[in-house]
Amino acid sequence: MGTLLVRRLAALVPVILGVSVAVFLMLHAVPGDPAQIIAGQEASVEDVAQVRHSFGLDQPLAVQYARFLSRAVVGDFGTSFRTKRPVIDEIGDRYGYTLLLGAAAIAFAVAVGILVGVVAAVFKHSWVDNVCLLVSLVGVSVPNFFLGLLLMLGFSVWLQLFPLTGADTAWHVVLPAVTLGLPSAAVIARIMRSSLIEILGNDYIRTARAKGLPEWLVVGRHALRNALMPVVTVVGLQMGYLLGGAVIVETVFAWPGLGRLTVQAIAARDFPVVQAAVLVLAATFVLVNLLTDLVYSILDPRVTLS
Amino acid sequence: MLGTCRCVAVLAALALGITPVAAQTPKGTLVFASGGDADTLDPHFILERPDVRVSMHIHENLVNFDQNGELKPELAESWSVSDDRLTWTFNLRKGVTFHDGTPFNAEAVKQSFERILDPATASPRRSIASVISAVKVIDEYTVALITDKPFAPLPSQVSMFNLAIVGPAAKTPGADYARKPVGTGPFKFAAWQVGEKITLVRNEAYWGPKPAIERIEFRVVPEDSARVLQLMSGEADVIANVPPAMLPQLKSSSAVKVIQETSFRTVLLGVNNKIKPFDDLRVRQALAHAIDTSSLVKGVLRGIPKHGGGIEAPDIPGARKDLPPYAHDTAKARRLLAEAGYPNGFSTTLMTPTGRFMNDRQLAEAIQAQAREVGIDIKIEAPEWATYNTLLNKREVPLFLSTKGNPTGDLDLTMHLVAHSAGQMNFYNWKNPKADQLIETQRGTTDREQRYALLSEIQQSFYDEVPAIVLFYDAQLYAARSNVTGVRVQPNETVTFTHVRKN
Repeated sequence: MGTLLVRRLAALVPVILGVSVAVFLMLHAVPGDPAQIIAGQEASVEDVAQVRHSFGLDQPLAVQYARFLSRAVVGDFGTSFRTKRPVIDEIGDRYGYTLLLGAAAIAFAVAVGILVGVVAAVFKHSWVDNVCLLVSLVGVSVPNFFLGLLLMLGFSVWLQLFPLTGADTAWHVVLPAVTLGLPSAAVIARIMRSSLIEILGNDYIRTARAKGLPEWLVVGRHALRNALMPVVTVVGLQMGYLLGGAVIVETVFAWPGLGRLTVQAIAARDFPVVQAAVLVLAATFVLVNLLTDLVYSILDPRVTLS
Repeated sequence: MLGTCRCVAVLAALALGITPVAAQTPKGTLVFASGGDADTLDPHFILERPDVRVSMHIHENLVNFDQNGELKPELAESWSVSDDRLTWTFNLRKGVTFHDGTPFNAEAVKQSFERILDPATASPRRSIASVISAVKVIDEYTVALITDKPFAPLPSQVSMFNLAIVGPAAKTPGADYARKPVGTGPFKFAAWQVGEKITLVRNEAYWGPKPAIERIEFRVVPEDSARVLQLMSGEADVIANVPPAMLPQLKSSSAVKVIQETSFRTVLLGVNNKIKPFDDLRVRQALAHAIDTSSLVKGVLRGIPKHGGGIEAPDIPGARKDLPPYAHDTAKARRLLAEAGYPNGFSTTLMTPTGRFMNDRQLAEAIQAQAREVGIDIKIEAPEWATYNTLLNKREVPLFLSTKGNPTGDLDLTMHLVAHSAGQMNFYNWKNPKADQLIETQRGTTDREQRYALLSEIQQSFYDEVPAIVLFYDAQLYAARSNVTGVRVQPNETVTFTHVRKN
C-alpha cells in the first residue's frame, strides 16, 4: 500500500509537466500582448518595449519555457507581471482560502446530501420524498451567482445573521460555502437516495429485518456502508466541479481565493501567475482523486490502490 | 441578459422597500467598496484606477488640481519658469515629513524624479517624466526641473499620479515599496490583505488640515449587486460604479444617496481612417449623421451622461464647449454615401469591449441598428479586453467603441496621445500635419490663452474631419450612506476621502 501510494504520487510528475507545457503554449497562442496590456493604452512604444524586456518576453519561446521550468523545479515561479510580487506569495495568499472554502463546501454538501438522500430513501414515494426531490432539483438548477445574491439578501441584509462579503472571520465562510456546496449536495442526495433504495431491496437487508433489528440499525449499519460506494465516486467528481465553480462564488462574495486570482491573471495576461495557479489547481485535482481512491479502499476491502 | 438577471435580487429588495437595520461601520472608519484590488502602491508603477485611489491618499505631488480643474500648490508653495522657458523652479513647503519621519526637501524631490527616469527602475510610465532632462537642487527647499525643449504644460504634467513624490525609502534595496509606500499624504499605509482590503490610517503629523476620519478601508467587492447590498446593509459607507439600472431605486431610499459626477472621459465610436471606405471624409460624415447620440444617451444610458461633439470633455480647461453633436439626419447621410459612391451602403465590422464601460455592448447594438437605417451593415465583434486591446493596437479594425480620459486635466497630454499622427492612442490612423504642428507649437507657448487658442484649432480640425464620432462624456456613479459627507469624486476619475465626515 505504501509503495502504491508513492507510485501514485510519482504519477503526478508527468501530469504536472504536461499541464505546464499545455498552459505555456496556450498562453502564448491566445491573442493579447502582456506588455501592452500591462503598460496600458497610453503607454509609449518605448514604455511597452521596456516592459516586454523586463518580463523577458522578447526571448524565444523555448528559452522562456526552459527558464520557467528550470526555476520552477526549485520552487521559484518568478514574479507577477502585475504586482511584481513573487508568484509563490500571490498563490500562497489565496490557496488557503480556496482550500477552506472548498472543504467547507464539500463538508456541507456531504452532510446535507447524505442526510436528505437517506431520509428520501427511507420515506420513498411519500410526500417527504417528493419535497426532498423538489429541493434537490432546485439546488441543481439555480445558478451560483443568483443563489449567492439570494442568500446575501436573506441572511445578511434581512436577518443580519452573516456578513455579506470578505473573509475576516469564520462567519464569512458560511454563505459562500453553502452557495458553492448546494448544487453538489443536491447531486449527492439523489445518488444517495437511489443507491440506498437499491440496497434496501437486497436479501441481506430482509434478513436483518427478519432477525428483529430496529430499522435505524438496518439502515445505519447494514445498508448505508454499501450504499455509500457510488456516493464516494460522486463526491470525488464534485470536488473537481467545486474547483471550477469557486470562481463565480469567490467573485460574488469577494472571497480572496485562487479562482478569482486566476481569472484576473488570465484577463491581465499575467503569465507567471496563470502558469503557477493552473499547476497548483491541477495538482490539487490529482490529489483529490487519489484521496477518493483511498476512501474507496477503506470503505470496501476489495478495492486496492493499484 | 445576465446583467439584468443579477440585478433582479437586489431590485426586488429595493422595490419591496426593505430598509434593513444598518450594521454600521465604526464612526472613525470609512469603508469604501469598489470592484478591483490594487496591483501596486508605488506611484512610478501605477497604471490602474484602484491603485490611484489608494496611492493618492498616501502620496502627494508638487502641484495638484482642485475641484474646478485649476492648479493649486501641494508640496510646492509656488513655481515659476525661466525666461528661456527651459527651467521650472519650485519653492517647496517647509516642515513636511514623510510617514517614516525623513524630512521632505529638494533632495527627496530630486531622488523621486530620478527614480522614475532611471531606465533601471523599469517604470512602465517613464514616458510621463521623460520630458524632464535634469533635476537640480538649488537649496534645501528649492528645486528646478529642466527640459530640453520648452514645455508649457509642465506644472499640470507633474500633477500626474505617476509623478507623485515617493519617500527616500523607495531607494532602499529590497524595500518592497509597492507594498510599503511611504509618502507625505494625509493618510499612512497600514495593512493590505490581498484581494480583500487595504487599510490606511490618519497621518497625525500631516502638514495640512487633518482629516476627520481616522481610518479608510478600501474593500474589493467585484460583483456590482453585492456592492449595492453592502451599502444597503451598512457594511460599506461609499461604493463605486453603481449599475445604472439600480439608480432610480437607490435614489428613492433615504438611507443612501447617489453621488453623480461628470468625468473627463469621452466615449466615442472610433473610425479607422485608413480602411476603405472610411478613408473618404464623406463616408465618415455620413456615419456621424446616421447616429443619433441623444437617443443613445436616453435609451441606452438612461440619460445619465452629457452629450456633445468635441473630442475633449467640455469640463477640461481649454476644451471646446461649442461643438454640437453631428445632427441626426438620415437623408443627408444617404446623400453623402451616394456621393462617395455607396448608394446602397456597405458592410463593415465594429469591435466593442464588454463590461469595460457603462453598457458598452448595448451601445454597440444600438449603433448597429441606427447605421442599418442608412444602409451601413455592421457586424459586431466583442473580444475580451486583452484581445480587444491588441487588435486596437494593430489598427486594422474599421470601427471600434473606445474611450479616452484625462488624468491631469491638461489638454496637451491627451491631444498628443489621440490627435498627433504619432500618438499612442491615435487608433483612428488620423494624420493631419497641421494638427501635429499645432501640438508641438502649443507645448512651447507658456501664455495660457494663446495656448488654448492653438489647442482649440486642433479640436476644430478633429471635429471637421471626423476621425472618430464623439458619443457622450461619461458620468461617474458612486453612492454613499446618507450620513457621509465630503466625498470628492474628481472628474479625472479619482476620489478623495480626506474631507469626509460621518455624522
